[in-house]
Amino acid sequence: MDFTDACNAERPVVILSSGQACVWYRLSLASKDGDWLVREDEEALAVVRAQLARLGARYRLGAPLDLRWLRAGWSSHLEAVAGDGLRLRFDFVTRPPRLAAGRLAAMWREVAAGAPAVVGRTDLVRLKQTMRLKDYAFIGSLATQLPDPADQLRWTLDPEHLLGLLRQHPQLRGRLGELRPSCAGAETAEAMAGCIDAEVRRMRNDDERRIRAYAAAQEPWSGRFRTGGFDGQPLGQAHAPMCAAAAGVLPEVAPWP
Amino acid sequence: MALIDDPSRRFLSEEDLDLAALPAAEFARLSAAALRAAQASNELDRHCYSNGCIVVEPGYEHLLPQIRAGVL
Repeated sequence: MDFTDACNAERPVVILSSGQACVWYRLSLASKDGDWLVREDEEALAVVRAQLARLGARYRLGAPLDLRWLRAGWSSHLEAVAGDGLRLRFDFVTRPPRLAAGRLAAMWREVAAGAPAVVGRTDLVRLKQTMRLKDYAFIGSLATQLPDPADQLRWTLDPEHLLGLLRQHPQLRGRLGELRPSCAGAETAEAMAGCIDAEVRRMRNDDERRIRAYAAAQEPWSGRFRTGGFDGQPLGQAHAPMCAAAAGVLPEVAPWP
Repeated sequence: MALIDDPSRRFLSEEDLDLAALPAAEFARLSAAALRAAQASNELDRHCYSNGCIVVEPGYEHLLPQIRAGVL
């Protein structure tokens, strides 16, 4: 949380996300990568760049920490080596996948009102719907921690848990088609398990299609990034030339809806 | 699976620990140990990314099956 606190000293500009948020919720002991949502304004990005420069961070392949690209859903990735030799990675987005604009705005309002600068459990469930199988273990754990049984029903990956919720809360049975359409009509644990498995495959495939769309769109930029040597320069030195190099090469419109 | 540096827990994985019930200092200590242990895979995941719109650098797509499976 040190980096988060340093960035948020004046006002909230970052929110801890993904793997580090799972550590915050004590679902895992550690995450090798630090992931943050960044407030989408110039001043916020300047604060984050200053804190990263203080740590000696350097860019990895990805978008510059600049509104032109972050607004299109691109991510920025940086790396530093701590004094004790630990490799530190920093990943940033302003428009995370699968979070609606309204929800994102509400999240910033909640943090401004005093909520911890950590993505909430329900939002974390959406962020974790990635192509990686291991993320679904986190979703399953998060679902059991949601206070509202309807939310548990919406996100649990355990067929027995889902059937148990329907038994304990009969009023939810009539809402299954609305809350969990992919499981509507399944009456047994085996049938429910099949529906959940198919749902997970669909979510993983959806995310991989998104990744492939961005990979295709950034192909010219990845070559330019390598030849520019931006990863070999301190952030303060690399940022402006990297933005200049990315202009017209890295698309400023989202390649994925 | 993270390595645990406490001998009494050495053969336990994260899944065997009730992480939520650990005192804050103990959680922080184990978390730091797990992070140090995880550095062992730095070379393996050198070209991998998480949480954004890149998962692997161009030229390293052969790592995708391991990324999908969560090994990397």
